[in-house]
Amino acid sequence: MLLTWLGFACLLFSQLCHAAASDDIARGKQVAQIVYGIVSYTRWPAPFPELQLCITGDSRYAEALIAGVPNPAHPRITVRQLALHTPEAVAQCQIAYLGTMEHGEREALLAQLIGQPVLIISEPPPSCSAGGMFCLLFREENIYFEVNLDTIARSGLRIHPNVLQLGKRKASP
Amino acid sequence: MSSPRTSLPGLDQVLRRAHLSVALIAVISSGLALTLAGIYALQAYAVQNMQLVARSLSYTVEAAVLFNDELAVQEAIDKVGKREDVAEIRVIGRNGTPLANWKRPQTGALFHVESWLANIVMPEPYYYPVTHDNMTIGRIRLVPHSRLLLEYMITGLACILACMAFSTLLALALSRRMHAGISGPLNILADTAHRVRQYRSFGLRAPAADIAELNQLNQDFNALMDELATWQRHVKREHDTLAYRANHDSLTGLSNRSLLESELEHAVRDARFHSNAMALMFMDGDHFKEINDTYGHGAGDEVLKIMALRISGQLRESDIVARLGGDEFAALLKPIKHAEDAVHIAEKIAHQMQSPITLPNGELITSSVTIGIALFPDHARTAQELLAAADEAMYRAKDQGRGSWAIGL
Repeated sequence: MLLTWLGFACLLFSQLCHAAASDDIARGKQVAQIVYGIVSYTRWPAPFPELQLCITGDSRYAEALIAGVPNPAHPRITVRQLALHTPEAVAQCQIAYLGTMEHGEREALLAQLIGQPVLIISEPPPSCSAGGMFCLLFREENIYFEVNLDTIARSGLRIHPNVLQLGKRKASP
Repeated sequence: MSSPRTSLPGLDQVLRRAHLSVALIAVISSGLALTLAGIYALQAYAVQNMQLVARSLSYTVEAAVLFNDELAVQEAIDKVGKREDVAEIRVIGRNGTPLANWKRPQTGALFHVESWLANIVMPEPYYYPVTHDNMTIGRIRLVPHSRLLLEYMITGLACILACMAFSTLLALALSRRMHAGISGPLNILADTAHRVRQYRSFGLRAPAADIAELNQLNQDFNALMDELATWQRHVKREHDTLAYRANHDSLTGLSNRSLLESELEHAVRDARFHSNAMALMFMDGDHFKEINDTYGHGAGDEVLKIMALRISGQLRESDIVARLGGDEFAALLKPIKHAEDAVHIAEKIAHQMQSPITLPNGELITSSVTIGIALFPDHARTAQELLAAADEAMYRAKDQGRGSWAIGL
């Protein structure tokens, strides 16, 4: 009897787990879409034959990003999970995806990244006023993003105005 | 030009109808052709315009579609929809999910007419892909709007109507002018024909006309008039000859009894009016039957001719000599002043008759006449009475002896 209950509970749990997991998969796809979309509208001061996307901090969508198939017409993108503590490590990355991390760590990381030709996309929280470049906003159905024009200007990256417009419009209300 | 056959259309009506129909057919056909060509051109323009709108819209919404930003797409198509000539815009995202939709508000009195027109004339909804980095990430669906088309059609129709009005006026003016050009000479011709008919004045001629056919008609008319005039002259001559024959004696050329009688009636009336006197003489040849029997009718005729000449020779132009039949002659002397004048003339005639006459066979014979004289108004008051009185006087003279004369009682 207990076994039956256990089995039932287990079944229920697994159902829940499965639901959460499928939710995550959908979100992950959206995140990958947004990230690679932003990348496709970004031009680096010097063109790279291959782009490095470095995921740092804790992210539930790291796998989705790794699995996400970017447009084959683009320069190839390799995704790595990497702690960007040293300038050498930073120099290897053209795109930095910031997951969840401690405030201090983030501050230090941003201090290192700002001014470098690195595209910074960060998961919430916090908002872009804290110094990010593109900051994702998760809503029920969709994912939007904020844009910090100041950081972008300092990085020397060129981002298509359409994208900036989308981000700016979302940030203002 | 008023004619009893009013049921027949006049020349002006025929011309007007012809001009009007030509003008209207020309205007309507060219107007329709132009309108159709215009609609075709507009359709092509609409397609091109839609392509242009779709291309620019695709560029505008590219980022928004890529980031699945429905609000941004909506804003973009709202802006475009208001500005461009489209009825409906729909943006479909990846996997066929609709992102945003814009529809022209159903405003304006002509909205339904416009959409009806658009359904008939305009092309199908137009699809255009939204691409990013050579990958299709969505689709745009455009439905064209027919505002321009309706405006064009209304303008075209107004133009056709205006042209119709203008060409109608022009056609009327032209037909009036043409009518004047044709009917002027025709009227003159008709008038001439009418006068010819009424007054028998065959000398009238139609003048030359400016139009070849009318000119030909006038010439033919004139030629016909020439022939008619000739014919008329001929008939008149015939008539005159016949009238002369009816009133004159063919052998002697003198008037006959009927002419004498009618002339006598005239003369009596005339004399009565002017209070004139006149004399009527009856003369009868003596022994004429014997001449005929002895020498033949040819000789008799010769004698009669000479007698007629001798009588005429004693008379004036105004007097009338007539052969009443056989060897009977009459002379009307008008006017005379005295009865003695008539007697004197009668004696002279009687005297003349005594000279011998050469017959065709060369023989000489002598003839004589017996004369009866009656005077107006002394012996008679009417023509009949005068004839009777002259006849009576002649028979009295015959009783006295051949070659003598007697005067009325």
